[in-house]
Amino acid sequence: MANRREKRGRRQRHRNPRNHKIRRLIIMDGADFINSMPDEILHHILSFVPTKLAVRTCVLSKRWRHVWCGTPSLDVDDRTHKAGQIKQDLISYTATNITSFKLRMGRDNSAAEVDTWLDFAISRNVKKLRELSLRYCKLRDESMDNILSDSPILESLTLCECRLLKRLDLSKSPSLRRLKIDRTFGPIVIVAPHIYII
Amino acid sequence: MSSNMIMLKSSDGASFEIEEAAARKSKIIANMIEVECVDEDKAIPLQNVTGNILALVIEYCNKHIVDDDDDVATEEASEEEEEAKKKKVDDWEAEFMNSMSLETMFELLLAANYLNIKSLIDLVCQTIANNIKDKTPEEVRKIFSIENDFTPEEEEEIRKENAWAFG
Repeated sequence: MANRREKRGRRQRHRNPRNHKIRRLIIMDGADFINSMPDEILHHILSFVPTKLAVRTCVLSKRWRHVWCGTPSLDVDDRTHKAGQIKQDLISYTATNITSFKLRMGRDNSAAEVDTWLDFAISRNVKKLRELSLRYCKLRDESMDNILSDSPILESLTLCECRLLKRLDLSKSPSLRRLKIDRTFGPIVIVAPHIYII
Repeated sequence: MSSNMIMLKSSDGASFEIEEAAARKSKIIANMIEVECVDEDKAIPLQNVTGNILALVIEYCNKHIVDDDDDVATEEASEEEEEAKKKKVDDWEAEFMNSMSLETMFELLLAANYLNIKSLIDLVCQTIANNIKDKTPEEVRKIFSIENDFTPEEEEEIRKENAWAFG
């Protein structure tokens, strides 16, 4: 069975692929470049795709089984991946020092669920967090303060439709250079002593 | 503005002349210049980079040094100008990446990593990530010639463990 599958795989590799770009890539057959890359580089590549897609690389081969676990960025969508299941689903996520955290919540999310996500990120150490993006989150002022005070080198912050947020205190984010806020819904007050240009 | 030129030598013996400002895109070379271990008459040997890859690195650095100069000159540029400029850079980068094979891409990535040129590492990683993004594991294996060394049972088990990601 495995053998037959393997043969089929090999045959398919030489068959005409769907588009030109893939065909050009396939000429490299057998060269094995990506497999010999250091983990650090693979993590960097995976940090450009949503976490869900990064996790999928675990079935590629034994080499790839645990590579995604160390990717220093989390990009999650609560509509496909519920806060309540984080502990179980991301049990093998071992990265410490997350550099980027992006969260998008579904329509009926609660502040408690958002807190669960933020706590998870904080538990993996956000001291080196540079990028934070929260969209459609019921976000309490305290929760926001919490993660901001743990992320001293944050450079980029995106808040989109975070309805509960009333007061955004950026006094503990001296490195913040990019701030993107949809102000249709909160925050009402922004404290930003380090921002020079708006 | 005249600027210092420095020489770089690839692992296969090819020499390249490059403006110091462009070479400084590489943190490694910038450090060498800082601690003055660059002799003006001698080329800097780069043991881990071949000539054809170094040529690409230099092309990238030269292109981006011009952009950095622009930034200083047009600090007051309007939003539209900024956007047009960014689009020009994006287009150039897309064309630059599009012109190379996957093998070259990985060699370029290793070179950028060795020379510590962050923006180039990001560009190549982003391009490779885009190749993975909308593909099934089977397609990704094909693109990157990854041999599946799991038994079907093992693969099934791993898919089950991470069921949320495959849903």
